Amino acid sequence: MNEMGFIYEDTKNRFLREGRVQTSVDAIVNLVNDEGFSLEEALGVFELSKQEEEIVISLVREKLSQ
Amino acid sequence: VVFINLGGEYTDIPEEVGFAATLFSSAITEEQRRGILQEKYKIPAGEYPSKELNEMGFIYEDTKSRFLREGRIQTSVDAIVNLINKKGFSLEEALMMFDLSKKEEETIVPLVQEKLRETQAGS
Repeated sequence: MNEMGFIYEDTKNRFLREGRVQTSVDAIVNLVNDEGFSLEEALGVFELSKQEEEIVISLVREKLSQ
Repeated sequence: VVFINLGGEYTDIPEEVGFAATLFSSAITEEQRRGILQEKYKIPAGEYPSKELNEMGFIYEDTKSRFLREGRIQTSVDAIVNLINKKGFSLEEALMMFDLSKKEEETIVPLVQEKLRETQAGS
């Protein structure tokens, strides 16, 4: 049962993080493209963990290059 | 430790795990679930643990959507407040930076306004 509880928390945190990353990537691309923000400036608007920031930077660069 | 994925979509529920699979399957509606539990497994409607199952959050797609949405809202609220307070955006300008559904926007706007009141009261 404890193991199941941990799985639930892991699943919850994973999807929360995915939602945060999804939203941040799209908004940062908009800030860079439409408002002239630099990537660093746009990142500063979001309260992301170091791990989330690394993922977001990579996804933003990919989206900007498309 | 063996993990068995019981919440997925499948057309043939293995008999050995039929009961548990019925409880957690995301391929059937709640009404269908109750029907199967009552007819096949003779569980009376009053004993169906719908509240507990909902709280456990093992209905995979509901759980996933709910937490994705919560993550999106969390991030949007904080970022919108920062855009307003630190970058001089209006609420409408800040909202436009986010690809939000109407429903998400309706949830986010009051949360942003509340956070703005808190941050401005504290300064």
